[in-house]
Amino acid sequence: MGRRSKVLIGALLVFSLFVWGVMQATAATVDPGGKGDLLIYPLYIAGDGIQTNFYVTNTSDDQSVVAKVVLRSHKYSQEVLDFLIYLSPHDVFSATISYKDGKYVLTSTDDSFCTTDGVCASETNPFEFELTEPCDGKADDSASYGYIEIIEAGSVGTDVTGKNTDGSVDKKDIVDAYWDNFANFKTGLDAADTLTGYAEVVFPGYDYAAYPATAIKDYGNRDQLGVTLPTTLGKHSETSLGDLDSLLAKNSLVVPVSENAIAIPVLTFPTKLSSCPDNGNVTNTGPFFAGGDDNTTYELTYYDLSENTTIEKNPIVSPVPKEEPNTLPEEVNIMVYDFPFNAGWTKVKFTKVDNAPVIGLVAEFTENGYTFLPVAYDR
Amino acid sequence: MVRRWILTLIALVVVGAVVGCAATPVEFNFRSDVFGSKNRLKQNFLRYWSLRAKGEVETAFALESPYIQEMLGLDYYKRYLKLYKARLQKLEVKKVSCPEPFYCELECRSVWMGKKDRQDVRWFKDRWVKVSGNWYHVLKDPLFFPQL
Repeated sequence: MGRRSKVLIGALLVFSLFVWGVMQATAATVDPGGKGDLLIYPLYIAGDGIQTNFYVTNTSDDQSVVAKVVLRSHKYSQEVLDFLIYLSPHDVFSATISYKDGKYVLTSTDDSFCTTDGVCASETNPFEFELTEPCDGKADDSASYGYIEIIEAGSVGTDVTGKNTDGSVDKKDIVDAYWDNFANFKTGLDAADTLTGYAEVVFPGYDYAAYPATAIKDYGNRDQLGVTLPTTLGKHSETSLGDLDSLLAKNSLVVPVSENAIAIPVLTFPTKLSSCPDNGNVTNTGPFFAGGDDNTTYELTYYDLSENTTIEKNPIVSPVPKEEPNTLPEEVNIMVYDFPFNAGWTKVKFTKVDNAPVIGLVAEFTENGYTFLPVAYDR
Repeated sequence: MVRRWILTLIALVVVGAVVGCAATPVEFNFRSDVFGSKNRLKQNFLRYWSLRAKGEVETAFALESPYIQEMLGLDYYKRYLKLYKARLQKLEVKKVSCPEPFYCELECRSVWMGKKDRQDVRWFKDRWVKVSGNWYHVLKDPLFFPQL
């Protein structure tokens, strides 16, 4: 082969690699404005008198949005409930997860919650569904707490659904358009990135703390979603699970602790997606977790207000992992540890692998009540 | 003289009403046979929730299981109970099941009176453990006490 041919082949190879690299880069981002087509609520909790209300808003002026709601358990990310919601422009969906008479349930009177026949929830026709016990009750998991995904299936304009004289869109028209005319929906990167949301954890008597959902923009679901088959992040979408690992990757987290407060970090790994144990073996779907829970190895560094510090490599935390004392073994990890100072902050640093795909939240409570704080982080 | 006497009487009535509201007992409701032969469990259950409703935190703490007393401490316990700003108005026991002779679960329906007199109905599973012949309450909350 001549020298010129070798140079040409080399150039073609380089160009191909460049094109391949461009094609692999995801368009998805974690939206700082809190709007997108994928929402993740890192914590819901029910039982022992506590309930969680959660809300999804479609901020679009002219697009209706159909989205799939998936509730997952805290240990093995099992689907405990899923359903579709149909949001007209400016619409808000709300529901409550609570414990009732021996079971965990989701209840809603919101007319965005509809059956495929277009029968929607209302004050006179409330919907109530029981959360499925994960792993048939045979594993150390439960529906009492977990996390929530809202995955936009697609968006559609009033040229397809029609609208009333006041500009509103009937729910039945959205339902019919979705099931009879999905080809007319905008999907993938064309879908509207107009969803936003938040959740409230409510004590009896309505004392509550709220937090915003993490919003991913341009997640890009491509296919019609239903409830017959489970929906897993990274499938049927422009964004892979590995892409989501990268988007959510963080090297260390900052947990603030105010005067005489107790700060409880809640660290959720929504890309782990593990399986129910099979003869003691668990399979993790997310690429980051394919190497096992070791990848979540961390150390805690405590700082007081005067920059005094102490490092804890093996803190006593809960849940206690079976092998390594300083890994985070579940999908939703609620950490309790003894903070040695009156006030200051804690750095949670991942040590085995530089960055872990985590969504963090801090439940902080003082003598005056409690609140959720965002978690600052390094990437 | 008469006016002062009337004002004093009005003040006493108002104070009495306020004290009366604060000490309004919990309305318990359950079938007479729901506890079966477990009378001590029933007594401690009624006592514990009456103490919680009255805000007698330290005495209620003594009815928490020894393990919880040791793991949580009174200070953390007090802070946690302050999150329950509503008043417990009613407590119904729907079912008592004892999977072990020393452990029982009570299916409860509670009514709380919150801000602006809004009633809030909450169901919960109340857990009790028998230690050295006495029944103790098992406090549970996966957010604030995951270690339990």
